Amino acid sequence: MFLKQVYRYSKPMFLLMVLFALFQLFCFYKQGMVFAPWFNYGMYSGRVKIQPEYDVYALPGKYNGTTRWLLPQKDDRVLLALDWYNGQEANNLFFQKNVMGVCSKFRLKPDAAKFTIHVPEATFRRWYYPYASAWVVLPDSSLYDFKPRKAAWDGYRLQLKSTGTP
Amino acid sequence: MSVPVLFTSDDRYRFTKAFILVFYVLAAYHWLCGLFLYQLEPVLFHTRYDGTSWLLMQTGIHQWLLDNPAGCIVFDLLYYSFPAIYWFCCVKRQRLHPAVVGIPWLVFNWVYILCYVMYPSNSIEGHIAGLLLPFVFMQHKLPSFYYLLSGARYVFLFFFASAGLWKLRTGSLFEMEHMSAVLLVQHKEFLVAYPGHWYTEAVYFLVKNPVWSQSLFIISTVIELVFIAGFFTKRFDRILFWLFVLFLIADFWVMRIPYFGALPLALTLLYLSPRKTKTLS
Repeated sequence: MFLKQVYRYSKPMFLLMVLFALFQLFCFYKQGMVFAPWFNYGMYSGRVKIQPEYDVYALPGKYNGTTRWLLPQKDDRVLLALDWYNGQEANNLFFQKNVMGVCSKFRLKPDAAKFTIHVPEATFRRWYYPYASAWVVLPDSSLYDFKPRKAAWDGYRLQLKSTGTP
Repeated sequence: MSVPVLFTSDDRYRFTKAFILVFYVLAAYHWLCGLFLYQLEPVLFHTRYDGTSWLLMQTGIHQWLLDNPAGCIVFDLLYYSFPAIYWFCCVKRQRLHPAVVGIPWLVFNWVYILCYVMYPSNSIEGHIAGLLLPFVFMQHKLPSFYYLLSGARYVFLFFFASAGLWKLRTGSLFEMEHMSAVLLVQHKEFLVAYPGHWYTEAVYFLVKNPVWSQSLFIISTVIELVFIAGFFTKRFDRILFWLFVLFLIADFWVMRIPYFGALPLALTLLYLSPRKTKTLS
């Protein structure tokens, strides 16, 4: 057995490995907060149902579909940035609810300024347009609010609803 | 009589070489996707539900990198140089003790990766090799290297097998429309941007035919669960490695998820498997 061999070779290494494995099993069992390098590898394990409506960032690609399909990480960097910009409030609430909650159990006081974020729209706009415009076509308007649009699933295809961003 | 040959310094050399080769191929792909830190030029971050990240955030280093192109370039230079420095100083010429490069490499990788995934880039799970393997590389003694590398192999096996177990636990495996719903969530931006494209039509076909899409999900779960075998024997390691490569390709095609970052950890399946035997008379 592997652990027996490690025990014979080095007791500190054995202890390290056993603790590592136990903590990994604990994180797997709890299915909640993680501590890098102990993660939960879900890979779309949580149950998902088809929804009648989805929030979609309707940004046509600058290149054809095949090029865009081949480089999904370019999509991630452009779309995640929008998602996180819109999710600033949720991020700050997460700090108040979760980070503060966990830290208070250990009598720790995290610095709110290090965990919360307030990027003004002007700053984001100045950064995002050159950042994303090499990959997607952005609405040519200073009124673009970076918000997602609603798309309805009609059982056949996703259809963008007419109201939303300019 | 055939006996397995022990892990030799030649195996160590070949594993290190393969790791570094894969690392730089992935680096080139990252650069092409604009995923170096200097290309991301982050101005915002996101707090993850990860206690280790919170410790790092308390230092404020993730904020120092915001809107700081020079800082990002320095971080990239260090992150992408360490494997090469290790290779030339500790493997090729053996001028330095592996820990001299390995310890700063490990510490810096942790700082870089934990910061990096706070910005709009990709998930931390794909960086598990970068968090763990420098600890293996800093070992001087061959048995220490071998045992820690074997430990990393078990981490990889758990990584994959646990994803399969979780699907059993949540019951998503038995939910007929699960994969169809996942495909819609995963590709909604692409579907809206490219109506009529062959990939859009392929996704719609799978969404509208849950028997097909859920079958793919079940096959991928079975592949994940097969990795449990690795906890009991190394006999199937080569097969597991190629199953993993198949999974990566399928994941890229069906889900548009490039999970290639886990590949360096999967190499443990190739270089620890008892492929060599010596015949004794």
